[in-house]
Amino acid sequence: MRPIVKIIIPREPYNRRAATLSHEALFLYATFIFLVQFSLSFVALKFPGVLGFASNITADQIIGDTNNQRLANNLPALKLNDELSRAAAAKADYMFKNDYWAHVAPDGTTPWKFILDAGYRYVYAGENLAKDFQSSDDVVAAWMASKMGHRENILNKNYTDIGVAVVNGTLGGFQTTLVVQMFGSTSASLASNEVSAAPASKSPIPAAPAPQPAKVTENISPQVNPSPAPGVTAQPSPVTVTQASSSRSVPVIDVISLAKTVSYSVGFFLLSLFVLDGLIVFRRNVVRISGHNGAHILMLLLLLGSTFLLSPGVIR
Amino acid sequence: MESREHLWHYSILVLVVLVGLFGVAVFKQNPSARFFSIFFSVVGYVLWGAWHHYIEHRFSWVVLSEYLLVALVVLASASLILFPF
Repeated sequence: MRPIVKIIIPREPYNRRAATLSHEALFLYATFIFLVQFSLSFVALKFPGVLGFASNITADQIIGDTNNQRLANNLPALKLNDELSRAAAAKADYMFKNDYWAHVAPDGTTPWKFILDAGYRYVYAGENLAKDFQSSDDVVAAWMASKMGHRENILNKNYTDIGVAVVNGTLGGFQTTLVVQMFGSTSASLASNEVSAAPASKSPIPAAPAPQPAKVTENISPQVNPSPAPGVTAQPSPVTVTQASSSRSVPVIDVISLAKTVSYSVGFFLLSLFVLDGLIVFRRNVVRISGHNGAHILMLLLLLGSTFLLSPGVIR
Repeated sequence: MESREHLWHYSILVLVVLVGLFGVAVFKQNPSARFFSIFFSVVGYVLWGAWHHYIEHRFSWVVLSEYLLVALVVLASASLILFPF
């Protein structure tokens, strides 16, 4: 017990600070954190797929949350469409195989190709993307909060159908979960929507169009970016798991949990030491030349608050 | 230093920390912007430390290096949580 007390009680050799708050100790904490980060980069490079983001996302929940948002905005719910779901799964698979994360592939392949290849002849179509999220609710909340067109896609009155794929795989050496949400409407679905919404006496619906739509509206989120996602290398990497309906990703090392644990541990450890140090100095009326514990505590609160607010998911 | 003046100095630091947290909360989809929010707060904290101790006539390189080392710990942690690899 005595050695522990010695290192947390302010002492003469460390400018009347505890040994655990000495300049050397503070430097060691920073070095330790940098070493953890360096080790993660090394593992990611040498052992692709070991690091990743744990998630528990289901397509059903994504669709349910999306429709809840539409209903809350007085819009009809979207119908699950198998062709759009297949298109979304094919798009996710293509992104993993070609190691990119964008609406338009580096080879120029657009989302519309996947939709048409799946046999869905759209009049209107749109796409939302997300990755690295931990829950379905977080994904839809991020899209709804977006000012880049994702919200407009969810609340677009021209869409009648939806397809969602939630796929686990390795992108740029990291295991992650991609969410591809595709929206669309065909002439037939728009017509049937109008019939169900219109009074029975309304004039007949226009004739059904040709298979290839004459007027096509393609509405991907405004960030149409042909280059790969930042931090993603150009080397293709294997898809480890593929599920179109639901996905639970459990990597060997969950990067976010590890980073949060290290950050919380260091933050709370130093916070406790500064509080204890302040109390002892106050009670013993110690005079010393040092920084203010109150200022350091505020800085550590910034760190703990930032760690708490951390949400790893990104949308496109 | 008078406690009223001390309080005034600390309110500035609280503001610096709150601005940093606001940036982290607002720039949810931009890790770089989040990091810069924390970075500018940390720079503000070090400058505040230097200024406050100078006003108190207690400025020394030992004190400044303490602020710099705490800042380094915070920045290292921020880098880890925002860019873990």
